[in-house]
Amino acid sequence: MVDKSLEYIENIFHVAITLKAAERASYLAEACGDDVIARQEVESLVSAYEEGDGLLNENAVTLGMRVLGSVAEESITGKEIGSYKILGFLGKGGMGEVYLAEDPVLNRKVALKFLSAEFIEDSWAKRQLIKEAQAVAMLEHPNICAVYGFEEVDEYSFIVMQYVEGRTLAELIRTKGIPIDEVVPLAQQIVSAVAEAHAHGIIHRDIKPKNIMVTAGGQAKVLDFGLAKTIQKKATFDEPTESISQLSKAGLLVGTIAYMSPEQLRGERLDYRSDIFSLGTLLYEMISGKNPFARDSDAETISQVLTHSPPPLRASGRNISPELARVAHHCLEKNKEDRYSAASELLYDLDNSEVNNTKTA
Amino acid sequence: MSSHADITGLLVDWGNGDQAALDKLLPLVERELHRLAHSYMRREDRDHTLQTTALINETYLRLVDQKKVHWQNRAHFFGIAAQIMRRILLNYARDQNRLKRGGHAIHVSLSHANVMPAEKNRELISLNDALNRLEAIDERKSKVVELRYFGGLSVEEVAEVLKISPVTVMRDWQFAKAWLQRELQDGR
Repeated sequence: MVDKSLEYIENIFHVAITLKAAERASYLAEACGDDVIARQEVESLVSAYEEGDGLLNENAVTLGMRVLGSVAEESITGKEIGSYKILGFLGKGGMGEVYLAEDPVLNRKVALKFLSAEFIEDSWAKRQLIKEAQAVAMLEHPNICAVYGFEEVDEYSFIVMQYVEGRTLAELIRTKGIPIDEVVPLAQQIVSAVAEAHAHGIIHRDIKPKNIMVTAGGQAKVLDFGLAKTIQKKATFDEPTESISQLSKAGLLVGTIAYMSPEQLRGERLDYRSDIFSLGTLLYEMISGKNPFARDSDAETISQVLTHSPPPLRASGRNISPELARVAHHCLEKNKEDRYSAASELLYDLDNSEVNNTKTA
Repeated sequence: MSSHADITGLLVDWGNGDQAALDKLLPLVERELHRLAHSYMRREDRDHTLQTTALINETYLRLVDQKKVHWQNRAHFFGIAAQIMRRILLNYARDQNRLKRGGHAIHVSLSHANVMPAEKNRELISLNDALNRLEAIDERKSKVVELRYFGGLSVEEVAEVLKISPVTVMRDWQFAKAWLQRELQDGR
C-alpha cells in the first residue's frame, strides 16, 4: 500500500520539478511548512531527478534480446523423451540436431535427430524431416545409417536412427589423412551406398566428408539424407532445386558449396549425376587431402566449381594409379553428360583391379 | 502443446483478471522469445541491426490469433515480455558476476559470453535491488518501471496494463526515476 506520507511527498515533488530553482525554494518552504524531514526528502528527490536525467532513458529490451539470444537453449540432455533417455549431443547440421540416446526397451544406443529449436514449429522443416526418414527407410544397405522409426512426443518430432560410433571422413582427412591403400575400399563402400539410394530413386544432394562416418573397423556409413530428394523412378531428372539463396536462408549451405555440382550451384534440375560429381570431390579429397575447389570466399569457390578444372591428381604427389586418377576426374567433369551416368558404373570401375595398379604408365 | 488458440485464450483470460493464466503464459512466451532471439542473433552477425521492440511484436503476432483479441491484449503481452526480460537479464548479470569470481556460469554459453559489459552487470543488479525496495513501498511504481524499462512499453500501453491513466503513468515514472536514482547514488 502507498504510504500516506509518500503520497504527500509525491505531490510536492511533482510541483517542484516544474519550477525554477529560485521559485522552488519558496514553494517548498510554503508547502512543507515546518516539516523539515519532508522538505529534505523532496529536495533530495528533486536533485536526484535532475542528476538522473539519463537514467532508464534507453530501455533494456535490446540488451534483453541480445542476452536471450546468446543464452544456451535449454539442453535436452538428461531428459527422457518418450521412452528414450537422452545421453548427449552428437552434432548439428542444417535444420537438425542429433543426440545420442538410450532405448531402454531394446537396450541399445540410438541416435535421435530432432529439428533445431528455431524450426520446431516450422511445418516445412517438419515435412522435410519426415521425408528424410521415409527416404532412408526404403534403403537397406550396410553402408547407410539405418532408420528405425519416426516419433512424435510432446512438441518433439524426431527420427530414430542407428547410432554409428566412429569419426567422420572430414575429421579423418583433416587429422591424419587417408592412407592410400584405404582410399579405394572406402570409396567402394560409399559409392555402393549411393548406388543403393539411386536404385530407389533417391538423390542424396549433400554428399560431403562430414556426412560420412567411418567406424574403427573401417566401415563407412553414409549419414544425413536431410536434403535427399526422391524422384520418380521412371523420370531421369528432378524438378528444379531450391535456389542457393533459399538453401542458404535455411542455413543448409554452410561449407557444402565446394562439394556441389555445377548444375546444383546453378539451381538446375538435378539427376543422379549430380551425386556423381560430389562423389568425385570426395574421392579427390581422400586422395589429395584437399577439396579441389574450396577457396576462401564462396564467390571464388563457386567460380572454381563452375569453370575451373581441378589440378591433376597425379600431380598431388601421392602414389596412385593412373586409372584411379582417371576415375576421379571422370566424376568431376563440368558437363554431366561427360561423367559416369550412374553410381553403379563408377562402382564397376572402382572394382577394377587397375585402380590399384600403380605400376602402369 | 502450445497452440495458437491456447495462448490467445490465456492472454484474454489474463486481461480479464485471471492471474493463474499468467503463470501458464510465461513459459510459452519465453520459449518463443528465446527461439526468435536466437534466429535474430544469427542474422545480426551479418547486418548488425536488431529491432527489438519489433521483435517482441513479431513474437506476439506469431503466437496470438489477431482476430480473437482486442488491441489491449497486445499491451498485456508486452507486459509479460517485460517480466521475462527482467528475469533473464538479472540471471545473466548474476551468472556473469559469479563467473568473474571463478564460479561456474550455468546459463551462459561461452561463445557469446560478452554481450553485456561488466559495468552493466553491476548496474542491472543494483537497479533490480532498488526496484524491489520500491516495490515494497509502492508496487505500482515499480511495475511502471518494469514495463517501460524492461518491456519497452509506451506510456499508453503501461496505462492499459495497469488500468490507470496515462497521466498517472507519467507521474509514477518521473517519481520512480528520481527515487531510484537516489537509491543508486546512496548505494555507491
